[in-house]
Amino acid sequence: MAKKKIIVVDDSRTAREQIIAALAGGDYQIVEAIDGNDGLVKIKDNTDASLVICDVNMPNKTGLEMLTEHRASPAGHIPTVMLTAEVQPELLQQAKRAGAKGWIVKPFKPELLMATVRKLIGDVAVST
Amino acid sequence: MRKDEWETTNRALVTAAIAVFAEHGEVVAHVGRSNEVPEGWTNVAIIGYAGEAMRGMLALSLSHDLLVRVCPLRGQSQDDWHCELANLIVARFKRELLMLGVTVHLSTPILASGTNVSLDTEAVSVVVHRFESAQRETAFLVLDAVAIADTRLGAADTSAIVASGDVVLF
Repeated sequence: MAKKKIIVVDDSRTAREQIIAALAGGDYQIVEAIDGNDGLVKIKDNTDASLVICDVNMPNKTGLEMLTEHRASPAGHIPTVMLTAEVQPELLQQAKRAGAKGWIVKPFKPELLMATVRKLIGDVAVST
Repeated sequence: MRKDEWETTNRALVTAAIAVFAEHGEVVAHVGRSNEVPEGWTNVAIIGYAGEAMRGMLALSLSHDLLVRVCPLRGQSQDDWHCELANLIVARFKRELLMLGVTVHLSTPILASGTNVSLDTEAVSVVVHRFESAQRETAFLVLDAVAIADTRLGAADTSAIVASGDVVLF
């Protein structure tokens, strides 16, 4: 059985590596993207992905801009969770309106990230 | 911005920095402040911010050993981690400002590297906060702020403000 694919969009390599390390026990295939533009390309190239994990403040195209474009694209059914240091309530509401499934605040707890991912891609029903 | 509000803003920054270092396993103490930006740095992470109440930039320079020790992953690019650490501190500062009723928007961080990096600040109000670890390693955090007229800090509705580590599912 093919591994489930997760697209990780973050301009910080350290942040991407932290996410990959946190999900290492889940046997997922990770696809990395370095900003919102790259994220849209990677989504287009990986329409079989199960989840997108996306930062908010990124150069070239922000996570919220990417989310809006992604949701309007043919691959818009792929769920997206925002993972960011941002805490501004208006941004959470904007993400919710744009169709994000959740918002995780950095620095994140690895076990909570794994539980959230599993819940969102239907691996197991875990309450966070 | 009144003097006491400027002090509150600076305390918010100090609180944010100490909290972020603590979240990465390092106890640092705020050991001083000045209005003179030191010279001779080799790496400075800079993040701009702007809002209706204030605008400016924050800069973080710290000892390499301290930077490496708080890095959550071994073998990472320290330049990238330096920017991410600054981002975490500034985001936490933004949260403190939100609690005071002030909203700012953040730029993405950049890293200035060289042999003798200095900062040319725009603002009249520049404060350089100095922190020390138990091993006497130093971190400097520069708050460069222009308060826009009639800026007033106040109590905000904090019920919807999330915190580090929170997971909110929609």
